[in-house]
Amino acid sequence: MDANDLTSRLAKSLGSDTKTVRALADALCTIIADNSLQLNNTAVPGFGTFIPVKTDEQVRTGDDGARRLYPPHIALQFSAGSRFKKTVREGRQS
Amino acid sequence: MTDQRTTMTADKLAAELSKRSGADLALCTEFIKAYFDLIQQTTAQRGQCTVKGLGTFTVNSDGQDITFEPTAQLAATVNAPFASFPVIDLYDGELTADQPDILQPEPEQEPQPQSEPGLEPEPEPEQEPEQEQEPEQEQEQEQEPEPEQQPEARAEAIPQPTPEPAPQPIPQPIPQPIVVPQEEEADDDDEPATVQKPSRCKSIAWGVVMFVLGFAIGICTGYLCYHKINAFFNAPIVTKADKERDAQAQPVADAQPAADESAQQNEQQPEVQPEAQPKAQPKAQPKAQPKAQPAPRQPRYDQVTKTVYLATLARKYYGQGDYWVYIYLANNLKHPDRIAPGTTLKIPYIDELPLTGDTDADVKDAKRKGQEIYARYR
Repeated sequence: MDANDLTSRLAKSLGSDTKTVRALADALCTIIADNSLQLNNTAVPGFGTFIPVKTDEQVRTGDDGARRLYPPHIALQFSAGSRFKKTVREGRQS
Repeated sequence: MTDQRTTMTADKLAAELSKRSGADLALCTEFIKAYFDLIQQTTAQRGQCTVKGLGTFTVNSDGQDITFEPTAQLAATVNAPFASFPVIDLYDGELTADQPDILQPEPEQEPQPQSEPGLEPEPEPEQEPEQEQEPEQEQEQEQEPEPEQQPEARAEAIPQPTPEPAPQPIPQPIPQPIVVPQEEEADDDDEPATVQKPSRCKSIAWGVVMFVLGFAIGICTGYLCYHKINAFFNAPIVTKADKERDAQAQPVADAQPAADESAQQNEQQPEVQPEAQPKAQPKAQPKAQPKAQPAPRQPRYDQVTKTVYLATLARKYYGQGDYWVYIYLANNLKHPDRIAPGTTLKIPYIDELPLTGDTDADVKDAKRKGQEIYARYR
């Protein structure tokens, strides 16, 4: 889905202008990012939960036998909610 | 980390969104609901939904699970604290010929200022940080060189037009994404990781030496202290009675040789002075003989051990264990049951003991004295 498409559809459903909707969408993404940065989950009822998973720094041995120290890394995972899964299941059946 | 983790619920999310965007809380709540509902519907209909700034939601092939792939921007924002940490090659062993760059920081950057001092400072500092932070981009730049950018940069840098021909492409240092971080680290620490090993070994060796020295000093001190203490406790206890007896025995011992000499003189001159003999004999003999008869006895000593106590010594020397009190009194001891093994005691002779000759009475008397001694320490 195109970003403009998403914005326009949201603006239409909310009865607001696209500028406001775009600002809200950007702010929402920033909030999720900031929250994940602090390793806190972000749960949206019915939709799912964004779960940041931190991998500590680690030493890995490459194919060439060289050992390298990799920095920590945070992976943002998503656990879909039951309603989301149900919606997807119904969508596939239809 | 998992214990401290909190979950931001929809209410908090709406409140935060309202706070940040300045919009109405109700609008934010409605927006969040509509936003994620729209993503749900799109994902269900198309099997995939890509949201700008957030990521891509994809339905698995079996339709049971939904995966999420954050956008590069979101991933970079989440990993911003770790962006400054590069991947570091670890060299555990000694440096080999394949790794000479670690100890020779930045050999390629120095020669360039000499050739063109006025042109280089501007393009290089701009490119170096990019090379360090994003080595992948550098590789792409290598593959697709853009020679137009450098002449432009030079044209901006040169204030006066020079008659020289078009600027030659500056040979860029070959980016070494693996080595550059190590150079940075080496600059920070002023010593590469491999150079620190000898200092560690040295500190460990010093620690061992100091430990051995301390141990040896401790042993010597303990040995000396032990012998000093042992000598102190094993020293013969000399009482006042012993001193008096020694003092009395000394003149007796001095008098006996004098008496012997006078006797010899008397024997040698019996005829010369026959009248002197009866005078000399009654003077010398009555004084020397009574004191010379009780020959000065050497004081005897014995040692208390773990198995030999006062009573054992008394039984050994007097045939009566209850006479330990006299040994005790002769040595001016403290608690009779707390005499350290190895203590040397003076053993008085049996005729020096205040015995009456009646064994029962003497034993009773000794027991009574023993009870008195023990009574002192109760």
